[in-house]
Amino acid sequence: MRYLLIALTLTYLAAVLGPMVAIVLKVDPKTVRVAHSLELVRMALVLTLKTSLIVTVLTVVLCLPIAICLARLEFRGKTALDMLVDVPIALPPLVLGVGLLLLWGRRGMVGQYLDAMGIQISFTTLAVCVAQFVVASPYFVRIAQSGLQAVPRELEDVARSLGARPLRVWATVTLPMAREAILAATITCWARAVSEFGATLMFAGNFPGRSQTMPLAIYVTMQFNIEDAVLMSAIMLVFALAGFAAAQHLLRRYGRPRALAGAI
Amino acid sequence: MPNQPTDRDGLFLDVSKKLRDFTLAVALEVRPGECLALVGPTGCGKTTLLRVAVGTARPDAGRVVMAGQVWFDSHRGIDLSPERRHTGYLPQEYGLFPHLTVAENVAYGARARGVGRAQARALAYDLAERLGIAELAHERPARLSGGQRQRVALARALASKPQVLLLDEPLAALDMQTRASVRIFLKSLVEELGLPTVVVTHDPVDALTLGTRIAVMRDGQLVQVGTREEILDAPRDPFVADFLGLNLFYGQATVLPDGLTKIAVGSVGLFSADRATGETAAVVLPTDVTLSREPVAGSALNVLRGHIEGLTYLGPTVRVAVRCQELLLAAEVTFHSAEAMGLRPGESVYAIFKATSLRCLT
Repeated sequence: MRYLLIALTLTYLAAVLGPMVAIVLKVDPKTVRVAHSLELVRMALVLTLKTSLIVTVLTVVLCLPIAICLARLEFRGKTALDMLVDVPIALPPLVLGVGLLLLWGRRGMVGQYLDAMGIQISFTTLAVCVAQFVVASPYFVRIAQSGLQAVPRELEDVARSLGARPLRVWATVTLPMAREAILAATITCWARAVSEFGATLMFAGNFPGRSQTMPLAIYVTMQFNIEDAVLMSAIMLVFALAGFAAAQHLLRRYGRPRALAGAI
Repeated sequence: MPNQPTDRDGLFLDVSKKLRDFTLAVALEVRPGECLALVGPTGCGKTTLLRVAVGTARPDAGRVVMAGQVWFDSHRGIDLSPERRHTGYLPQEYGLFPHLTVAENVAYGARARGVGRAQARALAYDLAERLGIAELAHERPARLSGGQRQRVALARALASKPQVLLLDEPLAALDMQTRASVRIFLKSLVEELGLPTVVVTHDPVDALTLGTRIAVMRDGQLVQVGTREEILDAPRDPFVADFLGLNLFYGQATVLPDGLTKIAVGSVGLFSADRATGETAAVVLPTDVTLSREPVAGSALNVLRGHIEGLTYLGPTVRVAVRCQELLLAAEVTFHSAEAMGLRPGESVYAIFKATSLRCLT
């Protein structure tokens, strides 16, 4: 039984880690210097980092109140809203991209009026952010909500009975106790934004420096220059590893629930 | 509209609230210095009633008045938010904030009400000192024992100068060993504070120990309210009798050299594993009393010879009243055993129970 489990685990690891190992093995140091697309890579990296961070910050600011509502308030249609938040997670991002284009594109339902005013969203950096937001934020809402729901209600009741107003209860009891989940939700949201491909391709296009993020750049390069694509994949891998290492550090450093500074 | 003054200085509740299976409808008053033990089976609405007083559950109709100040009045549309009522509320398991230290927990109320940090700290240390938890000030709740947690929760509640104490199952989270000593501590603290106090419990022994008055609740209604003697001597209906159907004795307790307590009830000597001295009330559950034709030489220390005064059939069990000199003891045995032993009124039997089953109400 024990050996079966070990074998199963090893097979699994080979299946999941195999692609990453393959990329590392295939990177040819000699191609690095001659890679014609270094400038392309730089632009794509900067764009990916910039958009994903903007989207992550926006998600936390806009979606934390929504997670709070879903976690604590009782209202008509809450179950329906709860389910609707999950739908984007189950859809291929490509489909969301199509929807975004239909809505905000130059001839889209809303986009045509914006276009008349000289405002264009599709195929811009803003479109990249919108696409990432639509794809990544549901993950944040879902994870943050379950963390907030796990905070026992009696603790909030006690805090109220001790004289704390609702806002103070949130700042000193609920949020500190749900801190780990909120941090995990933020990291997941960021990771999902970085790796976004389908919705971005549909809605933001593939313009270097404007809407070509790393996944798109790799996809394009792959068509005519495998060596460069492998190199870019390796860069992305390093990027992801560094991101998760930083996230782990943050979780260890700040994940333990504490009251927000100054409240106590 | 200003609050109408009333002549009441305690907590007064007259509320109704529709719950899932029944309607909570309770009117009661708790005066200063009084400890009302609210006892009833799990799910009878006790906790909801406490939360109504705290202000975190909203009644459908009625009034909640504390010392003349109206906290809730459905007719006049008054509903004071929990932070504006001064309640000392201990939920089940005490509700300590796990992410804060003991000192921060105790200081929470003062900080929330705008007291400066240094002053709140000083107040917290004073209370921690008073409740004997000062050396735990920098610990987190997860590292405390059940009894220590209760003290922290009490200190935290007292730090915000409550007008009323509302304790939800304060002893349920404790193991049997610490339970008795914590019960004694809690009782003396409640007496010393002199605040109107409501203690919710599902345990009849806790209710009889802590309560100066006892309210028996079932399905959202108060079945009977009265002193310990009133309720035990004259239970209003079979539910109360069954729920609180304990053997209660009054006697003179002395601690024996081996640590056991001997309670002299008239000419009968009873043994208890609880420590007590002087005038003591002690209880034993009828289900803990076994009957035998012979004086069985087992581990049970209390073996009393008596004769059967009567039998009450309760379905699968039979309640047997046994007269042992001036003691009248109720034993609950199965119908099957009663038949097999051929128990009849007037016959002599031995009533047997362990010293650990005889609990002292101190």
